Amino acid sequence: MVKIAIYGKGGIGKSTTAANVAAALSSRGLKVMQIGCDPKADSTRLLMGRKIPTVLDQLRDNHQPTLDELLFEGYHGICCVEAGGPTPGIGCAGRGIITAFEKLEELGAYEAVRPDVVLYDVLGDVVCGGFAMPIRGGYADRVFIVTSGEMMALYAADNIVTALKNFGKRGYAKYGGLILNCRNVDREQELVEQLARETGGKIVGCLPRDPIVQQAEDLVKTVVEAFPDSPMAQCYAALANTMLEECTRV
Amino acid sequence: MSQLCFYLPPFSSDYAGACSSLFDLGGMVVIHDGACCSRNYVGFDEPRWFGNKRPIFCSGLREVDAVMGADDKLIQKIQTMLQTMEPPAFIAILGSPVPTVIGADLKGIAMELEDLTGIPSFGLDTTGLRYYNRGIDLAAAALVERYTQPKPVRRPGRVNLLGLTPLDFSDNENAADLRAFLEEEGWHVQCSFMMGASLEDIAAASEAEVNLVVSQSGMGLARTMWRRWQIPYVAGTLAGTDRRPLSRRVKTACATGVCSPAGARFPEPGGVLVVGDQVLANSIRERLNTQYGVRGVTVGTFFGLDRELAQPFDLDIPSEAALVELIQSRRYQVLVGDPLLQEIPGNDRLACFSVPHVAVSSKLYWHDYLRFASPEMEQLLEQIAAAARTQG
Amino acid sequence: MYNTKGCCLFEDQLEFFSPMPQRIDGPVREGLPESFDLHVAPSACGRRMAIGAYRRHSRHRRAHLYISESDIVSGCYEDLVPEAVEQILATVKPAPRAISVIVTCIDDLLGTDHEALLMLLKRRFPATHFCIRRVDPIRRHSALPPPVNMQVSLFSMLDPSPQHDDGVNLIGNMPPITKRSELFALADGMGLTVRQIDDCATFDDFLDMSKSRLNLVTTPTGLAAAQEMERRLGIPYLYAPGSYSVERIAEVYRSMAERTGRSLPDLSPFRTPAEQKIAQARGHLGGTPIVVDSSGDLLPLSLARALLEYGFQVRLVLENLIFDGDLTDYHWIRERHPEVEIAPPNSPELGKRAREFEGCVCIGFSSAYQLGARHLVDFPDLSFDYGFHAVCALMDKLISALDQEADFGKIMRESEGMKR
Repeated sequence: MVKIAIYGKGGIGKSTTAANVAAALSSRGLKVMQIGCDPKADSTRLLMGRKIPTVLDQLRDNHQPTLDELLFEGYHGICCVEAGGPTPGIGCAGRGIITAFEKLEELGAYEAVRPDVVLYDVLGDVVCGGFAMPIRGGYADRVFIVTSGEMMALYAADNIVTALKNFGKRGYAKYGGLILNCRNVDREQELVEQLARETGGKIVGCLPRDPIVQQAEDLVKTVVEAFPDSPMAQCYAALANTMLEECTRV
Repeated sequence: MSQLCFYLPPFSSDYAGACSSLFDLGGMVVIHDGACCSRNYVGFDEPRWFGNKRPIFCSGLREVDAVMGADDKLIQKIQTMLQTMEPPAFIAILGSPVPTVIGADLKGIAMELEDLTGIPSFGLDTTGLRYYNRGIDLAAAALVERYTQPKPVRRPGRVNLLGLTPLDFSDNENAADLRAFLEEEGWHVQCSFMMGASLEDIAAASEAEVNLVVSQSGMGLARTMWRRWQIPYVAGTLAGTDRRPLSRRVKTACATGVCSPAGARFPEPGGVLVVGDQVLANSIRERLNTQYGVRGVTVGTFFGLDRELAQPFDLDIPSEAALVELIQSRRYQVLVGDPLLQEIPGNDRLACFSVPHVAVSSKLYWHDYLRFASPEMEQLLEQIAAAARTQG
Repeated sequence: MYNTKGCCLFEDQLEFFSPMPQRIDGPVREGLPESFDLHVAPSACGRRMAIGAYRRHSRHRRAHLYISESDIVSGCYEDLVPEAVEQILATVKPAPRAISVIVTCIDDLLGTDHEALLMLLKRRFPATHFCIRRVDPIRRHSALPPPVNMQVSLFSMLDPSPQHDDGVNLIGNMPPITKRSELFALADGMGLTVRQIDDCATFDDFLDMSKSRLNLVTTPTGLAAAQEMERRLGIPYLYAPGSYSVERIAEVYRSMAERTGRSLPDLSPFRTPAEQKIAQARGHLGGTPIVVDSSGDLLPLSLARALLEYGFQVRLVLENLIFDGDLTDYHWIRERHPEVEIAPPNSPELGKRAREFEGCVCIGFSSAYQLGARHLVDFPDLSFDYGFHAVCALMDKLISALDQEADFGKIMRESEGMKR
């Protein structure tokens, strides 16, 4: 089982990327499980065609949820889960991620699904104890960070790498590299390359800005599903391959 | 226990269960908390604390360190303390509500400590939100994972005691009685998880032929050892003076390799409600039935009903309100359990019998505790039976 | 203006806790009359308080609302509190006049909006008084550590009074000051009426505390509450934490008379016996070394200083967190008696030094237990000595501590069980 965490600043396109990578991997015949770790809970929307109830919703409404109430089958048999979050303004979103993970483990979700690849799609604006959970012991093997050349995206990416380095002594997930999601900012490639150098990583994939992504979104589908023959779909497939290779590299 | 409680106290928590499990093992234990949790344990969940000094500490967590995630400060405090003491056999860091909320990475901190000190270290994710049996289970799982011989040679005549904890048995003669019983029956007690155990005992625990589980807290470990090493388990403990039924069950399990979690099947619920740890309650039921002919006995527990230990009609009591409802339901005429249960209104219609439980009533009765394998307990069983007959 | 925030003398370290005797074994009326405590916390948090309440036979004055992990994550437990209050008001007879909602450490991290909760409760249950008390030891080094915060919260329920009478409030002592203290006779002599929470028979008596003309702050933990009462209720305060120095005690009474515009009665009937007791105890103890810890007195450095001034051989003082007022005593000891060791309490190191302190008298159970001391001056949990009377009581205890060996086992046994 390969376990991948995709981090990035809110709104940078990490959920779109994660869903397309999941769809591309799934098209290769792999069993994929995608776990959204963002209180917004829309990571798997493009795979499901709708929003699904979250683990935390189920825990709140029903103290003993079963796996059937937490796992949903999306495009091409991809197993979709949303951790969810508290009511805005109260509660603790970070702790929510941990609680959701523990519930999945307690119910034997991984044994039941037996995925070849698990994708954790994680909000990277705040890297507190909870949002760092996918990096920690036993969860992801590799962390990839989606960024553009915008300052806030670069800043968030740098934060995530810092968290990874702080955990260095604990032998947790390794830094897999940056995914450049182009916003056509001035000197974008150069800025992200600089970040890669400074953080000791590399750019594993470059996603050009393409209106077809929005067209697919309007259909509540991934590009891979809606426009499988488009160049953008090829782009996601190539990214998925590189990520998988990176994960199997010792 | 969920929601609002008027009559019963908060029960022993998971960190207290974990601490009491580690008490005898020569390790350093650090509860990661501000002070209250550690004080709860030493003052209200550990009948052995007075007169025994163990390196069990409070981390002295402060708000700013919690918010900033100052793991390094905790590591440094532990290292400083290590310089002043004999090297402990291990270091265990236990969680409490604050580390739970901030999602402190106790296992990671333990890994770092182990790297720095060379001392085996554990992080146990206790939370203060769950009960003692979970903490005992977490501690036992971590120790077995680390120390127990993974490919054992089976040694005939060896038995482990599982779930032996002062939170169920206090620190009177109960633990010694259980060990003596097994030894008199010709067994050698390999490891008594966790009262009176050593790390060497734990290492050889997988060599045992059979496990005797004496409380709910031991069931998780029993199942693990069954899965990994096919060591069959029997759940039961001594209640009263007749030891033969339990002895027979242990021998049968050993001979057949078949587990015996619940003992005999009982046909019906009835007017006697025994509330407490399921294993002791089951043993009380068994004795009431076989010795005194009391047929209808229902067992209820606050600590998460273990289906394997339960008759189909046994009860999970998830809240105080649920117990109030049971007591006021007129379904029961006799109530057996911790004396504090008698605080619940409506119990005056019932014949109530006290079997103190440290995890419920703490120091209020812990040194005035029943010796479960004694004539006094037998007398209590007789009285319960008499009341069941009269009331029924 | 005193600072309510304490400062630490030593680096943080892991703490070792001695067993804690609670010598309360009978029915006791505690805290506010006609009030009720609602603990809103993870189940583990309230265990100490709940078991203590059984021992004091005051269990019927409190309920626990346990919050689960999913309540924490979703934050929905804020909604559970009003429901719990409704149930309390329906269940508890007679219905309490006031409810203290007690919250714990996790609220500090979750950033629960207590003000909003309080407003909501007051709006929904207008006939009931509410306060929110934080029992959050992760903030025990902050400006509002739990015991300080408790006082602030309790007195926040008082409303301003249009006029003030001859009352003097005692603020800060949680067990009441014993009526054997001359404070009461002297106040009476000055035409003043002493009010303290534990003497209030009804909740209205408590509300009457807003009518007093002066707050006498008897422990550092009451200071913040007194400052807040001065600001909000216009009641001036006199900071007079319990002291064993006869000079300081006399000064408190002088200030009390001055601040209330009364003439000071003759103190000598109280002061002279105290001085005689001091001489007697000093003679009796001779050069016996003394250890003072904070389980014996809230202000161990002040106590140590008084004993040193009287000529006792104080060897060790165990204290870490000290308040402004106590800082003067700290420096005084450091300068005049550098031979006196000041060390952190709750340090496991202490257990190794039994031989060094053999034959000492320990003031406080914690140090005595750790050092295995034979002689112990122990303090009851049920009352608080104050003034010259406190000096006499301490001297008597020092004498009897030296004369008879402490029986720790007996003390612990007495702190267990439940007398019906």
